[in-house]
Amino acid sequence: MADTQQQEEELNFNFSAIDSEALAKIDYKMVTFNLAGKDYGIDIMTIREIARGDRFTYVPNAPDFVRGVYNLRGEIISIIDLRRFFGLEPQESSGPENILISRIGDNTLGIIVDSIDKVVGIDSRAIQPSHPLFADVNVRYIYGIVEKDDRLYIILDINKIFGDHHDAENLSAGEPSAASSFQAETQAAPADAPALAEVQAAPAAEKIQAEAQTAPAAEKKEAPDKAQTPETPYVYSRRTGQLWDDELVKAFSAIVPPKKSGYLHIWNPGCGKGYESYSLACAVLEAGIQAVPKIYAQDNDFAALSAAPGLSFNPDEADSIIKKHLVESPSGWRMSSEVKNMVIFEYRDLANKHVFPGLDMVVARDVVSFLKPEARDNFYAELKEMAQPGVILVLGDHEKRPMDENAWQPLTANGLSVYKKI
Amino acid sequence: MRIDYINPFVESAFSVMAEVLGCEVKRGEIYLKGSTQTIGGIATIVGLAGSVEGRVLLDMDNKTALNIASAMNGEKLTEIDDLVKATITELANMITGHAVTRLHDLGFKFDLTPPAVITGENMRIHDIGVEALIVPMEMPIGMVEINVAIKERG
Repeated sequence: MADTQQQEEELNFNFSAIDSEALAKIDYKMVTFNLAGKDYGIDIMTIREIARGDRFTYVPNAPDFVRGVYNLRGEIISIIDLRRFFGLEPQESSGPENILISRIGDNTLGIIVDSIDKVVGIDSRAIQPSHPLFADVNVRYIYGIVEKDDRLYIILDINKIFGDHHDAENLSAGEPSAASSFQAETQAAPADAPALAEVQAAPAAEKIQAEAQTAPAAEKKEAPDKAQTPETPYVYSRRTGQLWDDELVKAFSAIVPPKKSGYLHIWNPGCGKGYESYSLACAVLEAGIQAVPKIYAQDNDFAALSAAPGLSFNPDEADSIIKKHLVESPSGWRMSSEVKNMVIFEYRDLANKHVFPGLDMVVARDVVSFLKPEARDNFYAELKEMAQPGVILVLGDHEKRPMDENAWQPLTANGLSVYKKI
Repeated sequence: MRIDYINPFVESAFSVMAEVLGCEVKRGEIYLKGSTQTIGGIATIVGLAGSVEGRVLLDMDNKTALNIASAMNGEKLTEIDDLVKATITELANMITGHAVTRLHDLGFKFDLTPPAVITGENMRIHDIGVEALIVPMEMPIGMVEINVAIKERG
């Protein structure tokens, strides 16, 4: 960085004012556009051209977001309506539509958006991962967020849009919930509604924290097992990705099993960066049980998990109960060692079997809805095997009913989805 | 596998191999597996005990084993004999020992068990109730997979 400073000084010598941004490198350019009042961007390297058109040839039995096919100077390409693709309110179109022609490899796709803006260059380092609160568009398709010139752009992952469009096309809409031979093969297979925890909204979004940068052996990333066309975006539980507020802490401490001796084993799959696990630990301490609590916080997102043991917080954003457990350290405010010793962060893939030394409570919020069938089956199998009567299970706020309904009794608990093993 | 254990193993594998073999070592992406098909050839297994239960496995094919043993002994070896096996075992010991030392500094106390060498083609490793973390190490002289499975003790 000394070089940059020197450069800055030299330049300052010659010019009156230097925009420090000019020294940031521009290594990512995106075509920006507007959709339903928000600014989006797509990597320019994938955009071939821009077109305006309105004569699309209808394709029967295609998913509803496919407007048809279009003749682009002799080449026939599919046109998708991004509003419908994302499950947003469709807009009555009057006249020619604005289309981004995107190409990846041999595949070309036309994407209809509200209006196309301009090319914006940014420093790729400035791209931030998407925030859970941004989930009005399916989070799965968001590559990241970046701010430039006072505007916030949501950068879309065009590969995912291509991929899902492909799968959806291959599946050919028609009977979305019919159990067909496709189900076993394609990832875009519709969710098995009866067997699964029923979700109020079709879980089309991928788990936010599952943006693993450490790539790819087959089992690594748990892609969503989702309905083929997104109906409504998935609604995450309260305080996902954040420390809990007092109300949520109290709601949880009320349901912690009051074990008197030994260890209290809590399984917390899908812990992500650890906000939930630490909050849960504080709630358990608040409950004041006598057994020694141990929380097994697990995730297959290595990047998020690596940050968890050393996670630092802003004490001003913490509510009173959790704030009690924060201590100041040279590297920021952290959880007290009492809390940290309670939580064991583990890197694991739910598709693989794992043995626990006894299980008293399971906190799996917004996890089951996002598991691939193999992982989900294994999860339920482990649960069935290890949960003795009395074990408490907490699912996401909008997840209802564990698979084996007769084995779990629902408890009313302050807006939480809580069940007790019978 | 506990996140705190992962880096010490990855770093140790990397630094020991780079130092001992004197060649370029590239670390592949780590991943988890429920059961593993080994590369086939030679595998060395070192047990872990203490506050955890588990094992570390070093997995490579015969050609790579010969290259490694040759580099470590300073002479060209052509057959998988006792010297080669002992050398590979030594490498496994070094990597595991190095990792355990680092873990000790972090407050985790592990013990090692004496290593064993297994030879054969198409070997399959299956762990019960614990996943294995695979760290692929790629070098000009061949590829080695570090295969670690650790479980907390009740």
